[in-house]
Amino acid sequence: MTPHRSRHGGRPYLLVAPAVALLLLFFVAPMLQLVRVSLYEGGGRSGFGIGGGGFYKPGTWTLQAYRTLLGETYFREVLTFTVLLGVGVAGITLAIAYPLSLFIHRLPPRAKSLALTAVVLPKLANVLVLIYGLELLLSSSGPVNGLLVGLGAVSEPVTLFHNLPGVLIGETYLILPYAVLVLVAALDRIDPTLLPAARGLGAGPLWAFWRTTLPLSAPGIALAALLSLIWALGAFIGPVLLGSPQELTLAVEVQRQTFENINWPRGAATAVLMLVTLAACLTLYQVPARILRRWRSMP
Amino acid sequence: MRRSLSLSRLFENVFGLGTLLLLLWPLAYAVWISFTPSELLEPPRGELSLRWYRRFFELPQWTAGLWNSLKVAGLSVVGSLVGGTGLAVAATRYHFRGRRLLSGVVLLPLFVPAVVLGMGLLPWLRFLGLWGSLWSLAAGHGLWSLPVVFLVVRSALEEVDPSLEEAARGLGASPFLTFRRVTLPLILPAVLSGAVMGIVLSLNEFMIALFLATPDTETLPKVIWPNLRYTLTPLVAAASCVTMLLTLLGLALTASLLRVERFVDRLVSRGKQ
Amino acid sequence: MRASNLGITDALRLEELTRSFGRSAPAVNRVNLRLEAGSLFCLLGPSGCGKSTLLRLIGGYLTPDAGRVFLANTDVTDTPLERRDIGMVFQNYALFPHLSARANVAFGLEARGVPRPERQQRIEDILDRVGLLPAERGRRPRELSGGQQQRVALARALVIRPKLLLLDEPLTNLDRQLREQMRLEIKEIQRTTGVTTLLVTHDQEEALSLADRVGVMLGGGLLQVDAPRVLYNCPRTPFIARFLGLANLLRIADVTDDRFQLEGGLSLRGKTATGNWAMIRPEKLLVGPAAEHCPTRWTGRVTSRLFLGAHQVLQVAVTPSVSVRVCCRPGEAGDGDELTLGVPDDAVWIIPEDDP
Repeated sequence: MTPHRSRHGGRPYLLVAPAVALLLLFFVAPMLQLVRVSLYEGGGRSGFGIGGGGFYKPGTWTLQAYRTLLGETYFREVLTFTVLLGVGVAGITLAIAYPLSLFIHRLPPRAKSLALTAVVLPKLANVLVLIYGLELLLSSSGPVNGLLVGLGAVSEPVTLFHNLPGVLIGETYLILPYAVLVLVAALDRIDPTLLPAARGLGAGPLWAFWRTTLPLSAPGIALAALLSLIWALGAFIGPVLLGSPQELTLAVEVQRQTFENINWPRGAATAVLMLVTLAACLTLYQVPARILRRWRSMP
Repeated sequence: MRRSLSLSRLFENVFGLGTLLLLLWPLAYAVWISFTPSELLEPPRGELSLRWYRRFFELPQWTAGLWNSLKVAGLSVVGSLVGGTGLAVAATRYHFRGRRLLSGVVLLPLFVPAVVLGMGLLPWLRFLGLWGSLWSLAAGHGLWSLPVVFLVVRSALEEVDPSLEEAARGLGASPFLTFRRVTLPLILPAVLSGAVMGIVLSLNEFMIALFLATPDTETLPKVIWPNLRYTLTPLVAAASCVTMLLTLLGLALTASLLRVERFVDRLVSRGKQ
Repeated sequence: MRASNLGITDALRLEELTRSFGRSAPAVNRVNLRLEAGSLFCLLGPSGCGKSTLLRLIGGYLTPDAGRVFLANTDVTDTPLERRDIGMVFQNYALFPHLSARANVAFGLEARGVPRPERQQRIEDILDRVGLLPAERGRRPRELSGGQQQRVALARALVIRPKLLLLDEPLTNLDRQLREQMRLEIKEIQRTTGVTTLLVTHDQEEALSLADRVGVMLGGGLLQVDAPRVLYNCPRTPFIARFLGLANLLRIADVTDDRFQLEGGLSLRGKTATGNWAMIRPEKLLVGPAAEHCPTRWTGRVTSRLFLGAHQVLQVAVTPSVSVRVCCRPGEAGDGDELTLGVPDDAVWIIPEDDP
């Protein structure tokens, strides 16, 4: 019996002070101010939103921005599209990431490190370069189309960017490395003797996988799904560079309102609603997560 | 049954290898193009040329962008190292109210979309008077590297055998001495990798740079941006390859630093005999 | 370096030491103990009995809920652990992986500000004493064998000249031969340095062979503290009797004037002692011609035999319901043999207390 490791009882104020200062100053405060801006009465071209009024000026508080947004069909469409895109991208990412992670997990150590480096390498490069490279790949005269036409799958080159497929491919490409890292870590944590034990008891490879590896990796799948969803909901670069004006997500909308229309209250309100959507999706996510957790402990 | 095993394994291997190659392809393609001698966006046919690399270093705006990127990365990493390590030590070795809350809050910036972060920081930084300086960018980047450093250092601290610190204390070392002589050397690889990750994140970070940069304080990704949207030249490819090269150099440097440290250690301990 | 000139002061004294975790029963429950300076004391008990917790309380790695700890008459209960001057050898050695063996040993001296020349001298001396070769002293722990690591751990704890040396199951991780060798070396080091030592173990052989006194612990409390021989021959409870070695425990059904009536119809010559159990160690029962002269004799059939090399243990059914175990030399008896056992009067010990 090992007794609990006792933690120190003291107050580590000095240790946490820098982090707390950073967070308060550059995260909490701006976010609070953002909420304030969204409630600002100034409409239209309100510049940086606060204008000369200051934080507490009475008479400049209003829910007008929210009322407009929530009443608009336009906004509702953008919202729906963002959520659907987010879920879609997360789903595709998981579908590709899981088999890939299984493959990497089973590799011998040297090859495994190489493979993981290969997965992470795109993240080291500038995101713009990657999109650029993707664009070249997906263009009408690019290799992908060449392959498709050559295999006879399509009769003529398919436009794969500046449209929805382009956005899906792009966002999946950006998020995949994170999902793979999480899943490989989760798979590595499973006791490696369990699968051979199941096989020794007479289980076929597929059935053994289904009953041991898969349920035991469920927490990893849940985490990977969560992370993918969160990042996919914030999709900005994909839609902007690889999508058409129709592929409008909340993130793009926020940028447009704030920096192009210079309508800060509206932009801020959109941003706040976006965070609310994120939080809502996170809470809703708990449902399948709980199912996954129960499935794992099922006899 | 054995046949289905090898078939499914084969399929899995093909899938795995294929996907990995696909992941690397855009990268490789862009690198390949950066060596093209032509004016257009086409892969080099025949000869390779360093033309675009030369061009990159000739353009003051681009080299300034690179220099800014490095400065911002340095600033943000120093801040997140101090903050993240301190917080990780506090979270793993101390009981205090709000420990769980703080550990959660520090991760929040990762989940907030960059657009929203950029939006929020812009007027606030203006208000603080930091607008138009590299500090504003460093602050934005620090928001991301802080949680990363925290997570990495925290997991390293949790893996340190607690009896090592107990042994040190029992031998008469104060808590501070214990940390300096025992804990810190053991978590140093993690701290370093957290720093490296922070630098990599910062060098390549684009969205916050887009929102917060002024013409004087453009980081390299921000410089590339208009080029990407409006005029595509291989200059972009060359610029990004320079960034990637720098990043890889940094990683290699860290790895070799760790090896050098071990080498020096062995020299010193042999000298003591 | 003898530390036993403390006269009648105990090197260690524990008063009503208590510690619980959460809301469960106390892991250490009102323990009282006194250790003589310069002695080697063993805390013996099964896993979960609280012996490691007690060790950590003494060392200062845990704070007690109640009770006090005295080192040479000084109350150290509230002293922080880095000032208690107690040397500790952990079960997993806890050697600093990034420091060489020498640097590990130097650590405590550096923390105390011992100047370099004196430091180096003391380090080399103690490493000589624990038997670590000079060639091995510059190596990192991972480059050393289990036995070598143990020596370094010992040296590290001893070099600071502690008032008390604590050892937490130091030999558990070693294989049998190494364990027996290290036992002798620990005993020798303790004897020559004279440092008061407290060793925690679950191995009764270790406790019996090493200690000046042994304390048996169960469920957070000390059941009995005595010299090994006393503990082995005169255990206070059936648990202690069984824990220290093979024991025949026979329930006492009735006491008449000069005889004990045991279960199964056996009887023993009277003794002036009270208790519910009679204990007879297997090696005390006589077999063969020696048994003929014993006043109390039992006969039975050998039902099983365990060959242990130097001797064998036989299970003999002396009545339909009672079997006793006997030690004898291999070849003296075999399976299925009819055997007469002699029970000398002094082979019987009446256990005074019952298990709770």
